[in-house]
Amino acid sequence: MKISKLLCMMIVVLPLTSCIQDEPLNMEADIEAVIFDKNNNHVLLFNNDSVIEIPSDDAGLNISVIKNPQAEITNIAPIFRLSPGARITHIETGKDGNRLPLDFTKPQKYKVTSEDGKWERYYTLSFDNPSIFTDFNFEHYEMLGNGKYISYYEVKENSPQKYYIWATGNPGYSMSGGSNYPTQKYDRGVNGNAVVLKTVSTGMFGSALKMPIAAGNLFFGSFDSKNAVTAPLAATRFGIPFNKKPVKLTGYYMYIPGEQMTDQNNQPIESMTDAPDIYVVMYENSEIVDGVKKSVMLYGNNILNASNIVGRARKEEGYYQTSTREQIYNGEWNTFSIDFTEEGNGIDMEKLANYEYNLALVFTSSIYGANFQGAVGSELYIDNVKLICEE
Amino acid sequence: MAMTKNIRLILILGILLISANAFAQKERNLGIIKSALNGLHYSVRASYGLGGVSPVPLPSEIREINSYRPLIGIALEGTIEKDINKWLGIHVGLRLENKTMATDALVKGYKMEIQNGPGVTVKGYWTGNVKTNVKNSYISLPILVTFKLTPRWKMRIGPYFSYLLSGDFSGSVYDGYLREGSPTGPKVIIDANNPASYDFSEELVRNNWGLQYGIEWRAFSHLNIFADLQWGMNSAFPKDFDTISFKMFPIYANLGFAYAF
Repeated sequence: MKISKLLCMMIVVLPLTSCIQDEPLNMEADIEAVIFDKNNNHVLLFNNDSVIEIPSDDAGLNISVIKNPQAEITNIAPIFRLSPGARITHIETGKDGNRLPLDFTKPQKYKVTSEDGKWERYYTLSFDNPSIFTDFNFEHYEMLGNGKYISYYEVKENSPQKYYIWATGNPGYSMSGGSNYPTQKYDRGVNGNAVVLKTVSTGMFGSALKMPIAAGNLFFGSFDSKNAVTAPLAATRFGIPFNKKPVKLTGYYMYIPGEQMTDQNNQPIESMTDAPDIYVVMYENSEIVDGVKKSVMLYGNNILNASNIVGRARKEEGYYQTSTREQIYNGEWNTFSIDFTEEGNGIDMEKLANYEYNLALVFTSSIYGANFQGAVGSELYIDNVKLICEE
Repeated sequence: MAMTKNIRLILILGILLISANAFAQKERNLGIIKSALNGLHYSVRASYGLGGVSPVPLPSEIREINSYRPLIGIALEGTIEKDINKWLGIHVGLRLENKTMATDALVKGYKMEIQNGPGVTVKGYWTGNVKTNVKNSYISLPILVTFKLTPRWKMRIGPYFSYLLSGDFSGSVYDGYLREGSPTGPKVIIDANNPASYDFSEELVRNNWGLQYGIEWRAFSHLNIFADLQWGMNSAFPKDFDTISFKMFPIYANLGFAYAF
């Protein structure tokens, strides 16, 4: 080692800041948002939603924009907000995808390349009419996050189109590094597959963040993993546009509570047994603020108590029966039947026909899971769910 | 815990130093004078260390050092010096020392891997702030060559070998986001109010070595003032430790005084 180097080091030790190197190029390759300007936003079901934020996990790779059923979509030029420095290419033409007018009567594919050129993400953008699904058998799923966790979608007969109406907290759990995901496939359903929701531990990392457990969940809407730590209740975005009036929700379930209820600090809560929750909430999906119509979404903190709720189907905590391990093993399914009742402003048939209500169907393995209270080991099995609606 | 251990260590050394001093208050005994005639010199020394455990050079992922505090790093050493000839000599010591620091840095795309329970690892790329606290105690053996420049000035250089007695390397990440798994994985924000803490104390390597370079000035007949630079040559973490993808070298400058018998 040269003396000059030693001397340099001596000088270096104290003002380390003088040795800061050039900034490395960004490695991220996201579409952060799709933006429709005033020439394009008339095609949207709600043309006030001209900026559509895209989740950062792999569920965000299939972007489905809900369109006005009457709108022409043969010449739309979406604008993309990308990770800093990233580029977007329309795969079919090889052109810069930003503001590129395209015929969206079929889905269009894009490639996003990071600023450093080393990372790529492939996105599909489609325009879909609002679609109503009422029968759920949990047979359609794909594995995301390099095959680590399940994500459900729905399909229509004789169509290859996938409708990503379901969301789970799985992308949030993936950051705990565990492999026992809270929402999983159960291959011994009433018919074919079912879904199992599990309340699981999130490890030391989760405990440090005061989120010691993750309750299994499955719901209509989307999950935004970026809020999963700072504002977990804002990560669950409940509801999709719906144009039918529900009557009741029926289906099959089995439930086994975990042994020990714990709270947010991972301390035991005595004299309490975990319970599942299954509900439907319908709410007004827009409001007028200063003369401008704005979209409204319900989140984990207000899905059960917002003032714009117009109806719900939900049972009391004691309604659900507990199964033994043996009963679950033998497939002794129980049934639930939950009536939908209107409340608040009630349902206006004209608004209903115009998709001015969102519907959230929600399942969770721990009723207080949103507050990180629950028992690790609680399991809710669900299959053959029907949302019966007025014709 | 580590802190109280350090304090105890300093106290014991302090007592040793004082008793050595008391011993010195008596007239030079014959042995010491004899030793001096044979070219053997004894001294006790205390110094204050200032520095850090840092990758060298700073990787480009580190964008800004928001703050740096040296904390309290004390080194106490008993030294035997042997003259080889008029100019050259050998310096061998036994040193108890703390190497400490507290930093807060802004990073971009910093590769991390956090153990989250047995066999469970969270990997990802962090962009945001990282706080690091280091409080390590070592017992060290410097073996140095000394050069007498003038009757009052002396220079020395050579290796030192350290054994980690107790280590604390911990901190937190905040005000940024993690891309889980890879730069295209889920983005998870961790804000300033909810930091995620880490503790790599158990991962620190026990055996360390490095190079030491210093100068010493004889201010009075028994009192010398010195400055040393200690530059770690092996990383503070083992090779297979991927959480911090850079080699982390302890680099400390010590300033102190020696009592020569």
